[in-house]
Parts: sequence; C-alpha cells; structure tokens
Amino acid sequence: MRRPSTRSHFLFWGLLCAALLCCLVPQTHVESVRAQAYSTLTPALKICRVSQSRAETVSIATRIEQESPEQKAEEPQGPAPEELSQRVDWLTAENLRLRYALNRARGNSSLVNYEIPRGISAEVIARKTLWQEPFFGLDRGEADGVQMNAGVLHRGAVLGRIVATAKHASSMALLTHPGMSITARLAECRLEGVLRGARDDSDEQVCKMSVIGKEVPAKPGEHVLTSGYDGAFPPGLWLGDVIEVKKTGDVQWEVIVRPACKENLVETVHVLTGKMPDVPWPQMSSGRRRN
Amino acid sequence: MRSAFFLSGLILIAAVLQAAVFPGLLPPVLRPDACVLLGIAVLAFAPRETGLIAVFLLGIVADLFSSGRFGLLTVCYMLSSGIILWAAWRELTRGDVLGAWIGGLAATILAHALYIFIARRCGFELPIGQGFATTLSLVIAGAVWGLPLAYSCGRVMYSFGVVSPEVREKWAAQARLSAARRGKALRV
Repeated sequence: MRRPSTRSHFLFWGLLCAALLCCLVPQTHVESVRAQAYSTLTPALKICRVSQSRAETVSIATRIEQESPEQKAEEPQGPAPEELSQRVDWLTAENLRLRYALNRARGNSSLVNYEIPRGISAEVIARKTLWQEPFFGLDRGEADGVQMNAGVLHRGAVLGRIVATAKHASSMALLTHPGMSITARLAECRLEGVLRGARDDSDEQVCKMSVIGKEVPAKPGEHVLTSGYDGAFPPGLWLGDVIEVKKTGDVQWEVIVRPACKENLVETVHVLTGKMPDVPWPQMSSGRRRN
Repeated sequence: MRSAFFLSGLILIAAVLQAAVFPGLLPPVLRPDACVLLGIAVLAFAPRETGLIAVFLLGIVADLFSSGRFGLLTVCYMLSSGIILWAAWRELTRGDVLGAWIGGLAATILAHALYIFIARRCGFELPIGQGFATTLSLVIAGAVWGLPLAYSCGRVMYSFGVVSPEVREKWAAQARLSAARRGKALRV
C-alpha cells in the first residue's frame, strides 16, 4: 500500500477549507436548495411516505368501516389513502366549524376562530432527520399555488410557515423552529406578544411568547391565538396552550407555550393561499447564541 | 470520467437513502447515517483522491438533509476521515470489507461527536444527552447496515472499475482463487 501522497494532503486541506466556506452560505439559500432537492426526489419520497403511513391509514379505514357499514356497501372498493386522510382533515374542519356555530348559539364570547381559511391540502413527504431544525417537506410547490411565507395549518391549528418553495415541493418551518416568529394573543387575558420557537429547561421543543405588561394574569392551559398583525395568518387561529409564565424583567414576561399540533402525528396539512406578506426569515440567524 | 459518473450516481443514491428510504421505512434506532458509511467505503476501496472527494460530496448531501447548519457536517466528515486515514490508513485501504465497516462505524462516532462539540461551541442549542443518544442510535444502525452498504458499494465500484489498483488486484486474485476452487470441486 502506498503512503498518502502530497497531492492527497493538498486535496484534503483544500476540501476542508471548502467545507468551512460552506458554513458561510446563507441559510435561506440552503433552504431553497433543499426545497429543489425535495422537488426532484418527490417520487421516491412519496413511495416511502406511503409505506410509512400505511399502518395509520389502515387503522383509520378499519374504524370508518366499523362505524358505518352502509357506507361500505356504497363504496365497494375502499377509498384511497390520500382520500382518507383528506376526509379526516375535512371532518376535523367541519367539527371545528360546528363547534364555532355552537359557541355562537350559546352566546359565548370566545375569541377562537373556528373558520378554516382558503387554502390547499398538502402531504408531508419529508421530516426532520438527525440534527436538522424542525422542518417538513411538502409535496405541493409553486406549480400548485404554494407561496413563500404562506401559513400552514393542521386540523384548524397553526403548524408553521412555508420558508422555501420549488416547482413541485416546498419546505416549511414548524412553530418550534428557532427562526419562527408569529404575533400572538392570549385568549382570555387578551395580552399580545411575539411567539418564537425555543427549548424549555427540560430540552423539550416548545414556543416562547414575549409579553410586555405590568401583570400577566395568564394561567396554564389558556389558549394562545394568532393576533393577525403579521398578516401571515388570520386572527384567532389556535397556536397552543400556556404551560408556564415567567417574569424576565420589570415589565417583561415570558410565556412558555406548548404547540397545538404534535409534529409526529401530522400527515396532511392545509397551506393557506392568497396574498402573503413579506415576513423576515429566519428571524434570528441559525448560529444563534444561548441565553 | 468513470469516477465522475460513479460519484454522481453515488450522490443520488445517498440522497434517496438519507432523505427518503431510511426515514420512511425504518424505525428511528435503525436509521444510519448512510452518507458517512458510503463515504468511508469509497475511501477504503477507491484511490485516495476519489475517496476524499466522495466524502466531501456526501458531506454536502448530509448537510442538506440532516444538519442544523449547512457545512458543519461536511467539516466533521472531512475531519473524521482525516483522523481515520492518519490513524489506520493501512488497515482501511487493504480492500477488506470488514475494515470499511469498522471504519464506517468509527467515522460515525467521530463525525457526530465532533458535530456535537463544534455545534455547542458555536452556540447551537444542542442538548448533550440527546446528542449522544442520537449518536448511539446511529452507531447501532451503522453496525446493522454498515456491512451490507460497504459490500454493495465495493461490488458496484469494482464493476465500474473505480477501485484502487491494489484493491482490484487483491479482489481479482480472490476471484481467480475461488473460481479455481469451484473448478476443482466440479472436477472431483
């Protein structure tokens, strides 16, 4: 065997320098390249996604068959998995709408917006792997009407925002992403602030809402909703629930919020369409400092 | 030219494995870092320059799909492959699949431990316990998948003709020997 030659040494150090230079590439460029890669790999990602979600889809299908045998007679061949997951989404949206109507009929002055804004349905084809920040790859892109900064909902609650688009796929950041920032409002005490992705003391991924006020009478379990000031989401959409309230300064408070959606269970999402505002992304650089 | 053709195919396969196949079909504890395993296999069987370029390109792929900061995983891949070459270049480049497998495991540990260290030094919120749990699961998955990946990578490289002359000579001699044994067995 030959000993490593001088040429190999030069190549090694050259490639190491190139790798170090790669660290200087802006994160927004990386995300658009990632969205392009998802767009190219969409067929492979979809095949693997189908096999992944088969078990869950089969359990939903079994439940529907058990609940409505007459429906089974109408449909001799069972519905496709995509159709089933869309049906689940539609039923959830309908459930939210009916709850809203019931709330109104009872005269409750809830601030929660149960109406689902206009948008398109998309499937999650890629998830966070290894050391990645909380990201999802979606199977809808610019060709389907997905726009940059569009809000993404899951079963009526806010899940995150589109941060990069390609022709047939897009990349979205979840609420727990450290670069995410959404204007929010506490449902009962009506205080407003900015919600950001973070980690709590036990390293669980949560959101932190910065609030300025003399007193913050929020209680654990209180709903946190979108205030609509950033323009990415309509007001009144559910973001999550309060876990804890901490005082960080004389008039500064930090509200720890658990997101409404469990990211592991999300299969299909609802991407909002319409005119989207220019929202800064990421809010902080990814190479952020610890507090 | 042949190496370029092989490397472009390898990158595509690594991207599909890393982004789609392993996360989609396997439970979390059995999802290996396919890029580092393939990179070390190429480094073990191909000429050193081709191997280093492969490790760099596969690092870029891993960065794109599995890293918190683009470029950081590539740096860790390059450093870990450099350490392995410095410490055990003779054992690694002997044309032995077991050597490539063990090298892949060592590179997985080194690259991800370096990632945790550098990321924490750079101020990323990376919990150390969770980081080492992830590294342990990668090592377990690497132990399961490393050998088949190294073997199939070596076979493909041999059929493409991109293995180093020493490895080609060794494998050709092994093939001649096993053919001769088969012939002898048939004659008996």
